[in-house]
Amino acid sequence: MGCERFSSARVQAAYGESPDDPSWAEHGPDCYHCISEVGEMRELRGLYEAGSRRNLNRRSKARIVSALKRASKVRRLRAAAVAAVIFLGATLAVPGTRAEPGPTAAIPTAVAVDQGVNEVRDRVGKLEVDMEPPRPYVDAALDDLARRIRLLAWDTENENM
Amino acid sequence: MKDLIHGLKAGDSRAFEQLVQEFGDRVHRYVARLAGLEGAEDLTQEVFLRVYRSIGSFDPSGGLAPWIFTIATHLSVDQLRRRKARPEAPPPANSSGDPVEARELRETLLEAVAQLPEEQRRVFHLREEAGLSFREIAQVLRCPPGTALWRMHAAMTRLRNALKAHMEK
Repeated sequence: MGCERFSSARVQAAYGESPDDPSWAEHGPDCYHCISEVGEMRELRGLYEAGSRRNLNRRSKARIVSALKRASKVRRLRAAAVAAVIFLGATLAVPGTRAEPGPTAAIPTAVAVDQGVNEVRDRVGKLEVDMEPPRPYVDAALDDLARRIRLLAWDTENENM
Repeated sequence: MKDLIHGLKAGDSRAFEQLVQEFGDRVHRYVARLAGLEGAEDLTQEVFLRVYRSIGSFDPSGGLAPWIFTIATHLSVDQLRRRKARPEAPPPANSSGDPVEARELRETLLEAVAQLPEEQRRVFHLREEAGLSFREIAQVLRCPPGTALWRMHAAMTRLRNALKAHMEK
């Protein structure tokens, strides 16, 4: 029938796309075989579309949006925690300690440790995130970090005595 | 679409709503056809979470829809593999009140779709359920657009033959 080369064009025509083959415009509209096949494909599409369409209901969509929001909060909180640790490290490394300036970072005083930890707590608190279960985790991590640094300071003081 | 992508990257809740509004039904229908209706909602959620987590690596030159449905395809195939089962033939629905012949014809069509070779079935569902253009389907399947069209034509031929055989009974 000479229409074999237009099989892709017929599919595109049945789906309302412009066929890629430029010669379809001359052939398609005048070819009985092509017209009837495009018609049959459209009927088949209509029959399929009239069947079951399993769409999501409103509640399911809301559930997915909630899951996305939760994932976003977790991501922001993780980023905040990383930033907090970096900030804490930087805060504790600044001068203002009892040690004389030297080639290595000085061990901070207990006051400096508390100031740094409180600063981080404030910054985490200012984040617009729902902190519910993560906030206690951040607080506990900060407390633990402060305790370790204080121990480190205590050890250093005792070594120097 | 740029705003949507920017919003997703920024974690904007309006962007999440827009994303689910725009693609929710299409993704759900597609994964339900590919991996079965059971668990399709959870799988749909997983697709969107994956989209959100990977949005940083999304290349806008490829188009958002093909990218989303590439993720949907991979997750559906993974789930099928875990279950080691073929996708179920979708049950007929919304057919109450239809004439018996129309309902039977529709059931025959759905069964024939479920029995298409995998490559053809995937093209069919990407077009019918996901609503992608053939160029986008080719992107998802990483094949030339002509191949996607050829598979669709082959699928259509099988389906039309199945319907003709049913009507001749």
